[in-house]
Amino acid sequence: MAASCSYSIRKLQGSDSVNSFKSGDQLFAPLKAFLKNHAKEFQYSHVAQTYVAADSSNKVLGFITLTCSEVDLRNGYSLQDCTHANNYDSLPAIKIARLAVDSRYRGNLIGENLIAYALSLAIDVIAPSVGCRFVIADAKTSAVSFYLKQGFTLLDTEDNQQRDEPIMFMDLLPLLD
Amino acid sequence: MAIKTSTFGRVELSGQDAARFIQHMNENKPNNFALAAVERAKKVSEKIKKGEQFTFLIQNGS
Repeated sequence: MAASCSYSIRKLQGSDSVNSFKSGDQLFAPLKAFLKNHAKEFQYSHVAQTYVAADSSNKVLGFITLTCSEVDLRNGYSLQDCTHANNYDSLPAIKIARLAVDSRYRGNLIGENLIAYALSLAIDVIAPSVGCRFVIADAKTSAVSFYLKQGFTLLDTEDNQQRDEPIMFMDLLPLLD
Repeated sequence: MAIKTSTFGRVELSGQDAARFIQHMNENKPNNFALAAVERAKKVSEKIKKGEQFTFLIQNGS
């Protein structure tokens, strides 16, 4: 028998139930620890914002944490469409600092929808209001294929591909045109 | 290391990593996954603005 499960995507709230969140593999335990111990504090202090997929009883099924970031290229880039920006070392970005789905609910597009919401914030709100060129993530190696399917690019250098958490990015400019 | 990054901070690239990133920036065209992601982002955003919920089926006992 299959039952229907519904959730909404919204900001993390103080009343949200996070203790029952199951991260599954030990590799993901730090993600649960962040949700349980730090996410609300980061949110309160405006260091990062966490958005949750929560059911009607405020049980968190998945979450994504976003923060302001930048990609520092040591002034090596050359933008044809904004030559003055070439004088600066870095370009603005939104970073996916955390992303996790309760292991019992994986495979139901919750992670995909959280990424989609983050992308909509970047494209509809952040880029047009304060500027944002990239969405970036330090992806766990086991999540690289997931991020590729969400449209991210893996920086395909030897250094990056040998990292435990390789850098992946989505350039928003060609998507905004 | 030519890559420095922290979970809640910046990404710093230099040397070959910066050069390759810049090449990606200047040459990459949006791939089909990225285009699909933008479309999904629009749909998800609209759904949230309307106050609608996301639904999936789960096996009892999960």
